[in-house]
Amino acid sequence: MRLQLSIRRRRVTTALASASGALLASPAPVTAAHEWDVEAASLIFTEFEKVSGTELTLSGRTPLSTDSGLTLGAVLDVLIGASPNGATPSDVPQTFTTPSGFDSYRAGAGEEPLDDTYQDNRLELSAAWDRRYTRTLNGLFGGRVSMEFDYMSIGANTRWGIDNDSRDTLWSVAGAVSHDRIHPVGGIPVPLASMQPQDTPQPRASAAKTKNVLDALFGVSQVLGARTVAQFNYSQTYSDGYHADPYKLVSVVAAGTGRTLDYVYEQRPEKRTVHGVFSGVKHRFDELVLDLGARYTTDDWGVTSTTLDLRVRSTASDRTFWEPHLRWYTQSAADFFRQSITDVAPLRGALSADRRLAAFDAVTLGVKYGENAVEGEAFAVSVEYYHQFGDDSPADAVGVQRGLDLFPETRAILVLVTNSFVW
Amino acid sequence: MIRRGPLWCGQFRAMASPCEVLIDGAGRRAASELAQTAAREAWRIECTFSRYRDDNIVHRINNAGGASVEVDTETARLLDFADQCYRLSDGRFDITSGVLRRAWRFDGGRAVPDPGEIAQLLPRVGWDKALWDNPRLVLPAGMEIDFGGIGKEYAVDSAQQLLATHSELPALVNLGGDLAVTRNRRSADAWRAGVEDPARGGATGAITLQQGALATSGDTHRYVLKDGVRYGHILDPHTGWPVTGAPRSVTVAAPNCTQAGMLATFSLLQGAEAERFLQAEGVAYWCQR
Repeated sequence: MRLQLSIRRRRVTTALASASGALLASPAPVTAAHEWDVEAASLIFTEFEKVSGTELTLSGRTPLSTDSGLTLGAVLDVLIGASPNGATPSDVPQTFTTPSGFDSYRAGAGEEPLDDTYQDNRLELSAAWDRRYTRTLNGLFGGRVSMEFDYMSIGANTRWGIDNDSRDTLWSVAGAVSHDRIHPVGGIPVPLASMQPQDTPQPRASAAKTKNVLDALFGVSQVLGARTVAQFNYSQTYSDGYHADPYKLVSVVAAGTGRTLDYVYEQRPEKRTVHGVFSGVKHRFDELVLDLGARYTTDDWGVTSTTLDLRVRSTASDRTFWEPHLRWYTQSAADFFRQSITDVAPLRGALSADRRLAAFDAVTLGVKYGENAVEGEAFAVSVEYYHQFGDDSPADAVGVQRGLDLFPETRAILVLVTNSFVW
Repeated sequence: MIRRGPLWCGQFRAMASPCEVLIDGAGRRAASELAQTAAREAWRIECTFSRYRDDNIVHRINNAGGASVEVDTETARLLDFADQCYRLSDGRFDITSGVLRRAWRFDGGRAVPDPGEIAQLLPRVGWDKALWDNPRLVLPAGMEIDFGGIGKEYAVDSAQQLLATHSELPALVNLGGDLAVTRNRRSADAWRAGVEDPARGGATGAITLQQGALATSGDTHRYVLKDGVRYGHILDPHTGWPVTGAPRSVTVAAPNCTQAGMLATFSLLQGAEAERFLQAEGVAYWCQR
């Protein structure tokens, strides 16, 4: 009730403050010193019969002067459940050694092998300092550190925006570097070596590996009339180091029967370069805002992806909105992706059965309800349904594999609640 | 320049109103330069956006005969602002409503127009009939725009910004009662501004302010009196008739003069509900009834 009242209160004043600010082309109205504009979000998601998780996000910005501000953020992820380990289903029960080497788990006949010891908690802390240098130039410098029980990542980023004089064209340049270190349970497996039975020494190469990532982005957004904004971005990500997932296996099956003979640890290239282009347009009709985006990425692993994203926001009421959301995603497989390999195939080079590198399509359907931001206060809740599907009987399936579902569909429900307020 | 205690005061006329610039401190020459900077800005805006001239953008728009006119960025910002005010006021604040003044002459007399005359003018009113696609405006032939409801407050803010960037000296810009200050005075004193009492025709109360702006909207001198009903100069573009029940004058304090002026105008458009609107908005205001 309190929220309702405060949204009603000062509605016109707030709108006029921003409208007159734009007219006078002066910086936004000065917020009282030491106030924090806070956004708190909690995401709950569940992949049916697989991973469930919660992500809590808290971020706040406080002005340091009329032209600069400090943003601090924290993210806490808690994931539990079972995650596919990469091995192919079989017509007989299968037993796998846990990463520690001291335990095991099973998958029944015809079942997708899931590592039910999967768990992951992540804490990320970030800070950024932004500043407007001139009427048309602003910049941001940030840093972040992210910690998991088997992973650590530290990074720095910067972003620059330049408006033209009439403020209808905004050029952006952004860059980020990060250094990641993984020290998995049990150590880094020797690539392509066989998984050993429980309580016997596992093939381990080292305790930890690292990876460096470099990101760059160039973008332009252009106002096209009073009702339309268009955006175009090009981005490139270059990474060098250990890219494999140390917990993922690849099944080696008999070329004739398709029955599993062995499991080997996966191997991925040491380098990856991803190019991405994004193009989007937002158009305001009388009581609807249409937001259409298309993204295309391609990389030197052979993965290309296309995303089409459509949101339609109903603005019939000035205090609340409804926003249906539809997203379609498709990607091609990495050159080294194999559902499984046969015992007659040579075992060398990059090899992975991680389904995130397979060819698949995904559809997201959702709806968001929100109460508009007035005086920094806003509330929104969205519910989304995610459905991922790939080729469940690929042409390279052999023997018993032909009768099995080799790409079980992933379905997930996501609920996101966000709350913005001034503190 | 006149000396008024610790303040220098420069006076001039712009937008058919007496104007003054107060400078806290400095020598006479520096103060005079600042006052002239403010005056030149007020005159520039008056020339650029007056509907009484035939050499400016407003004239080009009003005489385009339905053709598309491409406007400069300053005009575009004013049109964007007017467009937002139109929507925020549910169409009651309308820069195309000026043609209604052909029927209404707010000279304190008794001439209330013939309803037929207003009905003839109403089709020529309505910002929603204009096609504003920044930077191009298409106004149907016969319609006119008028920045009179925004221009003076915009000039105050614009002059205030110029003074604030040109000088560290605290200054106050007052264009016909709409005013803004650049910063706190050097002493602990507040800036003081008089508020006119419409009934007595003089300054009755002084409003003090440290920062921000004040704007006044009202019909102190502009009204029609007929059969005991006082018709103020705030017209409802939906009906073509003045809003009734509104205070004679409303003064609002806000961070900038444009915002203050628009809040005062919006409150008058609420008629008898003016005070309730201002209370709900939680702004500092002074109403004279």
